[in-house]
Amino acid sequence: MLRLLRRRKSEEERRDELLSAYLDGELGEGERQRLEARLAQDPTLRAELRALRQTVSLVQELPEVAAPRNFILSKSMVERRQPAPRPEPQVLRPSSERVRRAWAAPLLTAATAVVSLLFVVVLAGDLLLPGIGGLASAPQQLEQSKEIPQIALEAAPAGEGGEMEDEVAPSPTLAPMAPEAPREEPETAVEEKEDVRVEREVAPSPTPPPTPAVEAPLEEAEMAPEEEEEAIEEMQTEPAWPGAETPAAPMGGGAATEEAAALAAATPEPMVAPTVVSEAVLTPTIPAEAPMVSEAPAEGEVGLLGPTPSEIEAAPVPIQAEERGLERPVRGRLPWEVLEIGLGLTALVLTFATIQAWRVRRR
Amino acid sequence: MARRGALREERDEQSLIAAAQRGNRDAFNELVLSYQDQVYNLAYRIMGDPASASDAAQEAFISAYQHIDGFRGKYASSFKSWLMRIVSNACYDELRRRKRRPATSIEDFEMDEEANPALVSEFEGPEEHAERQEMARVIQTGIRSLPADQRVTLVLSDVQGFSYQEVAEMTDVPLGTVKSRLARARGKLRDYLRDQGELLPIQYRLK
Repeated sequence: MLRLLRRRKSEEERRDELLSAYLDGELGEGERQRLEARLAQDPTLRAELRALRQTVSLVQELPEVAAPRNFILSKSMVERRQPAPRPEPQVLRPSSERVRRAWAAPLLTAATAVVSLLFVVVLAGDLLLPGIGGLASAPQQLEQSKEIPQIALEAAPAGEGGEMEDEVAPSPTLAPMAPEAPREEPETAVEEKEDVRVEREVAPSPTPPPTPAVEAPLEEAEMAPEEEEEAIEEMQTEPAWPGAETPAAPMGGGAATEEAAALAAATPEPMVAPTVVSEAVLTPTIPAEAPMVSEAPAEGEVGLLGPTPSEIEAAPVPIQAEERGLERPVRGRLPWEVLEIGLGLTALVLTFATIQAWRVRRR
Repeated sequence: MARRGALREERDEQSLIAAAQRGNRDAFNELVLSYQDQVYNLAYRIMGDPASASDAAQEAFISAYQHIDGFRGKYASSFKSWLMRIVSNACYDELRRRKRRPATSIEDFEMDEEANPALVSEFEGPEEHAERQEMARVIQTGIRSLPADQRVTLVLSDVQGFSYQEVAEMTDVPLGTVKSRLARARGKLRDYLRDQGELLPIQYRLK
């Protein structure tokens, strides 16, 4: 029954479709002729067509209605919703990038925390482990002195000086030294590094370098070890020579690139006298350090070069170290140093990346 | 002469469209003024009441302004169908929204065509005018009883006079669908008018 109804309905619909298309002249020639033949014989079909035609004409004759008001767009109508079209091409890309970085921010924060903690733990372990405890303060000091130029190098070019300070604070060992470093200009940092290098190269070599290109390093090299300290300080008041490094490096050779300076200092494999250098690095001359640090701010210019005093410390150390003949613990300490420096640097890089990520996210 | 006038109008419209595409709101408002009656009329016939029609018309003009960069037509007629397409889409969206959340109030069924002086023909006596108004009301109610897609198709075709092909393009459906939707809409409307029977003025009764 239902099916029959539905079939009848669909038949009616098919009929209406034919009639409707016929009214609009949308039937094909064959279809039109067939329908007209049927209409001629079927009065019901004719009545349907008439009713349909009347309906359509009633709709067509509906009076046109005038707009009851103006639909002029006001500024607010458009402004409220328009921001979409125009800035779209510009906004779209950065926003997707922003989303990516925003997602990275918490992750970087976590990574920074983990690495910083590890760094602290390793440092603490280094300090507290029996046997090497006495030597601890020197390497730590050295490490910091090496790190600081690195901080400056990384932070300064991006203009991150101010923020770096806060972010470095969480790792307690760096706290006392770090705030000074980031404020420096990148050039200063590089200069310092060069200074350190020159100084390093000069310090362990008892004989003058073969072909000194510049006067100053030559003089230094010829000086007695005791005089070196002064010479280095002098050097730092003058601008460093980028060229002075290469000719004055009698033992460095290929490893003497600027980027590798800090690392080279930490792992002086190519050096002629590795033991001496590492001794220099490790010598626990705490009393010697203290006066140096306190002296530093007094020296106007050096005060600007924050970390320099600590680096200078490294230089006088070898002399004393040599005298004391502290060769033994040195070999065991090297991996520690590498680990500490690596962790420290990683923490700094991560810190920097985290700051950036949060900044971008805040924007 | 008339043709030259039409040509100039078309050129004016082209420059208005171009200005609007550069973000000139005043230029776009010129277009609004010249099309608002047609836009409102289409919206009114689809929606069936003045308030909804006004909302849909305003919505459509805002949408047209926001998307005018997408209009690439070269002729005035294509701008009209582009605009009408936006209007019918706005109406269709609104109808579907209502279907999901029906909120039919008595006011929705009140039509105030009578209040519109533009509808009074000077060749009509008051009685004829009243009959015509009554008939329009009945037909409008009949249109409102149709499903949204049939309603839009019927209005575009029989009220606006667009061809099957144009309606197919405007509603994004195949030609055959337009044909069957239109046939069903007309058939239902015919049945509705038949049911009204004697309520209709004599000359409007279906024979």
